Amino acid sequence: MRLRILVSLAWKSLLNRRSTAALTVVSVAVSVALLIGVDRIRTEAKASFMNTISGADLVVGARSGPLNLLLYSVFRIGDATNNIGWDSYQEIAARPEVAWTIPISLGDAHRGFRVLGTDQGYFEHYRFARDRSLTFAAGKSFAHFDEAVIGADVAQALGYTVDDEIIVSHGIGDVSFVTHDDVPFRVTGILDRTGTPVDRTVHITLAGMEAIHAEEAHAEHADGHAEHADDHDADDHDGDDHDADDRDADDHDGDDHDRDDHAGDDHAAVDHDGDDHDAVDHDGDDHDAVDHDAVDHDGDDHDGDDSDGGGHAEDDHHGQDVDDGHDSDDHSEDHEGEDHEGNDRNGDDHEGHADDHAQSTDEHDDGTEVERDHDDEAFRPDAITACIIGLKSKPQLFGLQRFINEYPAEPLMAIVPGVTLQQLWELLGTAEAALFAVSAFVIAAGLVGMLTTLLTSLAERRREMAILRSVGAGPGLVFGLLLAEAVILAAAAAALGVIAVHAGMLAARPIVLERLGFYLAAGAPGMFDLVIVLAVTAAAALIATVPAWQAYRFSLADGLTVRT
Amino acid sequence: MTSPLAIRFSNAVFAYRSGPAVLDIADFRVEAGERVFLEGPSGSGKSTLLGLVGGILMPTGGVVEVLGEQLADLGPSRRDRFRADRVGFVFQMFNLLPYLSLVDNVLLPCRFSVARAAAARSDSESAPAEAVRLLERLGLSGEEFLERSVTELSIGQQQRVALARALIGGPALIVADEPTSSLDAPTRLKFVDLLLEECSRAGSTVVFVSHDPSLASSFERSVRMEDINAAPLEVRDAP
Repeated sequence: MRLRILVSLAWKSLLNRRSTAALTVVSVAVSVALLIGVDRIRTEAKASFMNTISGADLVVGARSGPLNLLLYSVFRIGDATNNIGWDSYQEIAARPEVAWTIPISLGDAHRGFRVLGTDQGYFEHYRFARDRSLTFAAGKSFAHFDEAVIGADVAQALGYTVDDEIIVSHGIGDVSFVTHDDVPFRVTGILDRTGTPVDRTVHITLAGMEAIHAEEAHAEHADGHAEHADDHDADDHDGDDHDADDRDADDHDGDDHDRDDHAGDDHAAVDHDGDDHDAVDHDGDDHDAVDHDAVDHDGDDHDGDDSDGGGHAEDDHHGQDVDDGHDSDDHSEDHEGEDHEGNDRNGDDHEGHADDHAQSTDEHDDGTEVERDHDDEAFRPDAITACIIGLKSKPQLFGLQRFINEYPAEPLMAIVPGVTLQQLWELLGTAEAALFAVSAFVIAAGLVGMLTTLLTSLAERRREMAILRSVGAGPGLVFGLLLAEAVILAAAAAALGVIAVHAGMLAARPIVLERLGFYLAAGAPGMFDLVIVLAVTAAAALIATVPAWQAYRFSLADGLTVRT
Repeated sequence: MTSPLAIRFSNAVFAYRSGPAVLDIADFRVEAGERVFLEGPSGSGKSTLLGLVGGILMPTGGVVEVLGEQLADLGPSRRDRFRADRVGFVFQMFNLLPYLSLVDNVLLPCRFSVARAAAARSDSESAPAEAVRLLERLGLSGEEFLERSVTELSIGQQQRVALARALIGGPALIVADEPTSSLDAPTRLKFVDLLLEECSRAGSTVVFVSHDPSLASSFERSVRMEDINAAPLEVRDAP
């Protein structure tokens, strides 16, 4: 009965001062909303973070730190210290316990977005947010080495659509020091938003990646090329030779194609041929020619476009497997030279070509084989940056991890992404705790504001206390009245804050899903919210003992009359 | 004891903390059903006396007996209940809680006193009905009036609401502390008459405190604070 009187009186008293009370409630509610909002965002961010990669059992890279490996392989932050040799990758991928692998080759950027060379496995096996797989918002996966699949952020930021042509530059800076239009990729697909670094990635084939590297080196000497192209026209054999050498040299320098020594051989071949330059059509469109080659290798689709003459001839040779015909008809010695030239240029694009051709100077078979390889994506780079591995069964995890960590041929490291993600998150945990502390202090500030309001109201309410005393209220009731007011205010504020946060998140859910790619699991207020409401209410009751005690003392001292 | 005493002060002394006595009453009695006018300027110890009668202040010496109970012998909560059950107060001004309706203000004692709630119910069919009846008797009738906010009332109207609150449930003792000092002269007399009429209907003892001697004629007996309070005047201005 007493409690009912207390609550009813407190409630009516608050209603009477509703504007002040409302302001107090709002200020505390805002602070509570901030705290809960911060916690929610923290939770969601962590979930999103932890879900950046899922379903993968191991991430393998050159031996460095686990965090470093995770950062560059999954978050595209920083660079690998070293690569994984292709053979090693193949050996690991062939292990019986391995269900699937995703090769990752990093190192380039397109207008500030990292470019990642990979294969179809990426789209098949990459999982995030527990079990979501990559889906296409538009278009389809890449099939050829001059095709690219871009993440949602890339598409949005740069306004790309399917079939747009994009240029990839070497290095990861926003602006490449060397601008060159040499390696255009065609966008074949745009991925749905994932809320992971995938959104900010341009995906190309491993072959495409090699092409960039080769071309990048090529481009550094673009001027030289142009000049030399002229030389070619002038039939300057010597000059040509040098040219060719130059280009080879470029290859060597710029890329990891150091083992392309055979390219030198190539050019040797070119040298032999001497005049074939003319036939091969070196008229300054070296680059174009290269491009066309590349295109042709893929799907022959550009055969129709091939109006370049000499370049064509070559293309045709490569594209179709009519080696014999070629050999017999077209391939005089000169033609051989052509081919080599052509291969050379290909070599710029694809090392593999250069290699093969170099090894077997006259054998077109090799070249064509390599091209077929291109199409199959079984293209052989020398190395990749990292790879993601899925196992057939979890218990084999540690066995394989040990195998990789102790891999004899080169220093490799395998990490369990979940574990390392957790470590990384803990690293960020300090900021998280600081954020939480700040919002807790905001609540404290809100409650102090309430305390101020209560204390201020006390002076004018001494008379009210005296009236209550006169009709039989004990000083305890006066104490309780103030406590009850504080509790009502705080509980209302906390509840309002919780409701505001959840309503806000519910409202923001579609926007967040669209813009940030993660699903705000707003739902019903949970245990944490209840704890916060209770904690805020308890804290309010605690600090309200100050004005309540003062009111208690007033009511004892004042008696029935207030001396003012 | 010929008739039971409503109030008895016997060598009652009161001092705030360790200060000098502000009240020192050797003998002061009010008989049951008596209507006493207690006259004194402000600072004459009236408020302290009322605090002792209401059981909010405890005498530092001597005996204060109200309606047969020696309040110092009761515990604090018993004293609060005693006050709620047996005494109705009317103050100078600001008698009402601004956040309660007229009827709720009148019903306030019934919230704290089961006895007065029961008495109010026996007087009318329910306590709120009794509150409305009292307000009507005091000239505050009509629906539109009862729903008005307390703060919209004139001071005279507010004092009548306070009187209704003191009267509800028929407490044995009505203590009025300068209830008319905020009123103008004609209203003042009307208020005193109303008060005395309602108290005699209820058979309540009345102690009416005022600094205005012109009102004394309405009462059976008039007592001057100076005559009963032996404490030196200069210290009576309580802190």
